[in-house]
Amino acid sequence: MKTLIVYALTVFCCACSTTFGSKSLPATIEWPNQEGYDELRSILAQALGQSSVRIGETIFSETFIATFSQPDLTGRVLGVPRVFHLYKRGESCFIEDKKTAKKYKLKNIACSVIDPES
Amino acid sequence: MIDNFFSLVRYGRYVCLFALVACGGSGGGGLGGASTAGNDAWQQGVFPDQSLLADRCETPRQNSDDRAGSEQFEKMWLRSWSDDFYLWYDEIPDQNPASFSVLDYFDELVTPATTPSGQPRDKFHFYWDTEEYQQFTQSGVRSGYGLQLAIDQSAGAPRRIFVVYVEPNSPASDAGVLRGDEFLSIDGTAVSSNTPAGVNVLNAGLFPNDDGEMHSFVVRNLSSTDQRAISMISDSVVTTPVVNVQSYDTSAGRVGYFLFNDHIATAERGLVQAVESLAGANIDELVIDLRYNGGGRLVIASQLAYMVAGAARTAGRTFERLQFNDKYSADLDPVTGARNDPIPFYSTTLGLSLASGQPLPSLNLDRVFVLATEDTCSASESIINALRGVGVEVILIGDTTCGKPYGFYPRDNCGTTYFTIQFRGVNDQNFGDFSDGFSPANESGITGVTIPGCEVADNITQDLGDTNEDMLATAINYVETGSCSTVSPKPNASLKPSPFAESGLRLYGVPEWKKSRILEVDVK
Repeated sequence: MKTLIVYALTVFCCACSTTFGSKSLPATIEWPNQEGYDELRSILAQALGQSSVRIGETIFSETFIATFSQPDLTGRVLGVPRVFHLYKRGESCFIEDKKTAKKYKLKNIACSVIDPES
Repeated sequence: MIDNFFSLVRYGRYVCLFALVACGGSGGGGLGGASTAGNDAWQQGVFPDQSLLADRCETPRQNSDDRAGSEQFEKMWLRSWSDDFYLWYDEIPDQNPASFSVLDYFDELVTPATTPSGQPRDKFHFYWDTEEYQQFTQSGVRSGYGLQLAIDQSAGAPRRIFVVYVEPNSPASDAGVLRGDEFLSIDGTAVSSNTPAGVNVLNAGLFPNDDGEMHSFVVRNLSSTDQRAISMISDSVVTTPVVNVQSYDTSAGRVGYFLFNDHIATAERGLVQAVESLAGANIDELVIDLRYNGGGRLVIASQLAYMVAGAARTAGRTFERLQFNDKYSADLDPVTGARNDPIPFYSTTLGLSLASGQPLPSLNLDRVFVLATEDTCSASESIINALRGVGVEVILIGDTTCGKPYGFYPRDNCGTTYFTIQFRGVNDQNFGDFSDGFSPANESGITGVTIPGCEVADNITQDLGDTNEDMLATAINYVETGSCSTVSPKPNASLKPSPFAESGLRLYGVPEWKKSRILEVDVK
């Protein structure tokens, strides 16, 4: 019985460590190959409800934030842009749509954790 | 007989209109629930509820809120919507829409009033294809070469095209294009070409629709007689909104400078870095170069104003308050239905390109120099107005700004997004009346609100951020002497265009994608 309890506690602790121990941390891209770039563009287009989206080659390279907006034709913009963050959790990189809180795991992109205030 | 014939035509039109009304009313009741019977019939001074007319389209789009309607419905919606929200709704001549197309009728729904200088008060009335307008792109990423151009299209004179700014790390910079270059030919067609086919070639070369298009150019710098043949391939160019952060030691102390071109989300990061750098350099004065900054996000303008003025001057003060038309309470934003809270001087980052909630650095200045041209517009003018509103002296060097204290909430109807002026921005002192722009005190041409400063032309043969560049040199001279002494002529001064406004040279300080086809055949 004792053995069973110890085993159960061990499993519980490991589970906690796996699930909660690794935090999502702001990250930047270690520049992706074309496959990764295409994946990112495809995911962002899907999140924005478009067939495609124009992104720059430096996206998520200097900051973990990327913003998307409609053309500024007015010179005096009041609206809020769409904001996406890049995070690393464990060995996984994913982007989060800050409007919907939906997360998208990136399979073909390597990223590294940064100081969010940098 | 002729009169009778036209009467018959008019009568016939009314018969048709009656038939449309009858059908429309029936369709509205059946499709949308609320009856719209009679709402699309024009009656002088009577404006049906715009919500009953919205989305009733001649050609309804699939997968949208559009319902079967007509051009008459679309025009009547424009009329009622304008009467609801246009800032000067009571100045719009109420014309029968019958003889206008939808878009031509929208063009009529403006005030005929003029500014004190005689310019149209509303020169910002336009529409855009909704599908194109609703496309999101990464902030600051644009397809093209990374150029800002000045195009002289004076009637009767050969067209000339000049480069005024080259984006770093762009196809243009890679090709060695420089500020002050003049395009002589594009894809073998002379820039002065005035045939429709020639103009099409020029437009296609200057404003490619897609990435990956290669075009050839012959250019010559205004400082030289040598011609160069280059080619550029269009690409997704990442705009760097804040560049040339520098400080200069003068006899009156250290002067900081940066060029700020666009109020886009990534400017939050660029401006914070610029101000941190200049604060670290212990500058005594600041020159902000806004000559090509046509505006953008107001929150970015607010953050910059805070970083210039500091907490003591701005705490609890208003950066800008929106004023809507007099049908609505000042406390209500009638378009969104939200409270019309004033826009504060934001003192922290907002998560646009830096993690949100970090305190912004500040320079705590009592005065600031702004380099401006007629393309310094909108949110850029808000910076000037807001700083003046909290007692920061703004010294304007250059030319009169564009004069746009107004804004819009873009609104789609039936596939077209309409931009009609709905609010005016006022500062902490409730001032926002600068429809003729801000002018330096010694401005010789059309003047707006006169503020301290010096009139100086933008000499495109000189590098931006160079202390010998005329506008920056004038600012530094003002710092040292408190006056606008004449800038010494440069050796190549005879090659420079005259001040743009006087020569007819129109400066396109706006991004390339804002204008799909800007060259036109000169028919005069």
